[in-house]
Amino acid sequence: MRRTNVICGFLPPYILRRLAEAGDEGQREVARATLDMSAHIRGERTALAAMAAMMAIATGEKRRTVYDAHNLRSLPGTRVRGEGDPRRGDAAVDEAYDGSGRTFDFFEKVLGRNSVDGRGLRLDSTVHFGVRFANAQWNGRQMIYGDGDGQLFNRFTKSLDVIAHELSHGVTQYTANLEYLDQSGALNEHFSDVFGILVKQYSLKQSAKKSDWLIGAELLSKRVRGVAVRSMKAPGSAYDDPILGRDPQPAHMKDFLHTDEDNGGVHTNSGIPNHAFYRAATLIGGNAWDTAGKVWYHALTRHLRADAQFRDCADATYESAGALFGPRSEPQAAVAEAWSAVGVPVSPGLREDVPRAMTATIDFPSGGAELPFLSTDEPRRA
Amino acid sequence: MRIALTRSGGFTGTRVRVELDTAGLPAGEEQRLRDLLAAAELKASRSPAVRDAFTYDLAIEDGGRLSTCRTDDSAMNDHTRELVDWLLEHAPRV
Repeated sequence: MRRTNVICGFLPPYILRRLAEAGDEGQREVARATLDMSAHIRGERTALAAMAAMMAIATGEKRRTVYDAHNLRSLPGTRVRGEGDPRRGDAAVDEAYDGSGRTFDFFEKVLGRNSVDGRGLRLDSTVHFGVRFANAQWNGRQMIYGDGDGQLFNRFTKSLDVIAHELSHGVTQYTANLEYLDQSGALNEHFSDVFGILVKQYSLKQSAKKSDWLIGAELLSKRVRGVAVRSMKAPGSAYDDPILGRDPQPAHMKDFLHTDEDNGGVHTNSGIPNHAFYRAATLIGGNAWDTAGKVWYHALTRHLRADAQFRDCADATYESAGALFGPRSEPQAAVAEAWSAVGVPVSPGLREDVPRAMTATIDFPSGGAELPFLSTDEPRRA
Repeated sequence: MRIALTRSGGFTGTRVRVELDTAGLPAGEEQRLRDLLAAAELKASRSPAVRDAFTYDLAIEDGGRLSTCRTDDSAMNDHTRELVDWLLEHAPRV
């Protein structure tokens, strides 16, 4: 490291910038530190210019790196595969690489988003994290995957929708930044499952009708009585096993779980909005990513605030459907019906398919009311 | 001493709870547990940026005193992890 540092001192800024972007782990770190330091000397304006140059290189480019933690817990671990490198023959490494690539492609091609932050953020994954670690995480900067416990759960890269779920936590972080607690936390989980299933369907070229709507179907070991970790089609039905217990997800607001565990049951109550999405997508028909997926993405990136509740999400998706496909359009009606079915009806004052005089208590201008509108994709950390 | 641990959340959202009364333990194992507890210096800590972390709730009743601690997968120190792993392996599930 020290030796590299000396070498870097002789390198012109454009090479440093390139190294900061495309070099190996050590080179990147040193190049960034060197750039930061020289920029600091030259002043903040120059630092911003260097940042802009780095971003120009980044635009639209997929830049995946997979690291191996070798069953330890230090991050990121040893770099084992970078963008364009051949397969490693290690299932976890290659699945993390392929899965993050498919997720990147989905966001770019279907939703017009350049990576997690909208600005070409590098996609870093660490596999073989910890010992018998039966979990996958987004830690605010990168994805982390365990090998499973060797009993109930397989390795966590095995399901494409799990990889897309983790990366989508990053997308939410850089957009609505839904607070990870209670209803807003369950919505955070919900959006990760939505994009998780959409990436899976898009990758399989599968219509809403054909999809199994299962999250983490490949995670359960053969010993477990169940089909997946969650079902968006029938929340609460994914597994019923002597050791694992029974899938606790509700599909309706009347069964909302009040708990202080798991940040207020964020992985449980997500069943309610998950089922609303399933209903909307199947009512609309065709490919879920073409219509319902775009509505939900619009709501996440343009309407929802960090403290959004389920009702806010119902309203935001209803308004988004109106904005994208027209007021009183079929998709908008489907969204309203879907949320009603899970016990979270769209606010009556917003409904455009019901006569105003019967519902409205507040007089909105024609064209529908606007929820607080946030147009940027700037990170909004709490 | 009685000790209870609940692990909740994680990507799978599956809940695991174990409980242990040291009265039923061989002396060596009770000492091991007390050593782990002392080393862990339990403090509540959370990692706000992490999504899908396991949440751990520990409750310890010792000599009529109850102490509780909530932490998560990313925030906990290595000694606490050792304690939690030991409990998940040795304490009966309830």
